[in-house]
Amino acid sequence: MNSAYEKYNIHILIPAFNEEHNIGTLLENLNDISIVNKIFVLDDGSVDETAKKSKKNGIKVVKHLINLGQWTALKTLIKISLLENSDYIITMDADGQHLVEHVKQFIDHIILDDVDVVIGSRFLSNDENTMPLYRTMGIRFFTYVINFITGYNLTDVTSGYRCYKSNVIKKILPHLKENQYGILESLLVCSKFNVKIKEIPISIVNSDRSTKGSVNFGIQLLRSIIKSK
Amino acid sequence: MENIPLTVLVMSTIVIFNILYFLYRRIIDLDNKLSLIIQKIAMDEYLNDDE
Repeated sequence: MNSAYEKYNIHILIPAFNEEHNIGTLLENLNDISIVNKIFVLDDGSVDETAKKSKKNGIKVVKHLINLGQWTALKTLIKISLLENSDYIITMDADGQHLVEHVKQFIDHIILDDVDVVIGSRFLSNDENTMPLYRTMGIRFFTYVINFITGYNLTDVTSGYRCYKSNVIKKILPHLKENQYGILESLLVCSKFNVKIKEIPISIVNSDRSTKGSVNFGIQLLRSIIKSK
Repeated sequence: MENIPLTVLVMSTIVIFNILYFLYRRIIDLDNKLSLIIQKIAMDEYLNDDE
């Protein structure tokens, strides 16, 4: 491991549901990132070979007996990561959208810029936006709403590629109530605790593969904001 | 139908709404409890697994 990062316990948390086609490649790529101490995969009641593929890559898999939703899965992983004394926690999607090359940038920014949370923004990079228009508009809408409520100046509030300081996530964890749609609730809770957030540009691959962006997803996000307020 | 006084109609609607809301809350509570149990099982399994 690079000596500058040796003193930090860096964990990557990946909730996965039926991701047998993507999880293997993601974990192979992550195994090459030397600054990461531990990778946690939670199989959230998958009916495919997600757990098997993860184990093949040497990962000890946490397993929910039934599907409880992405944010419940994340909460389980966060609890385990905190028990294993993490200093920094990076959350990633299991669908292979997030590039592992950004992991080091997340850590550099959270340490050097003295912020509590770093969010990877798809709209800060110079890459061409490959997301469908309705999805881009949806994200822009929710970003505007969250910025209005919290006073943050963010560009991509629905990005799941984030890095948290463990002591900060420990503080906000008991206040996270959402099971599936906690991505915005987490920001609302962060603002209540005056958590410092920074965004960095990230590139993504195959954004059209994501199941997010449906009308139902938007409605549920709206519900989660109303419930959290 | 026209023989039912309006007050009775309103009152029974409120009562029915309250019962439904109570049941809804109970289901949410049970769902949350179930989630916590499954989370605990997952954590125990992970932490006790020596593999």
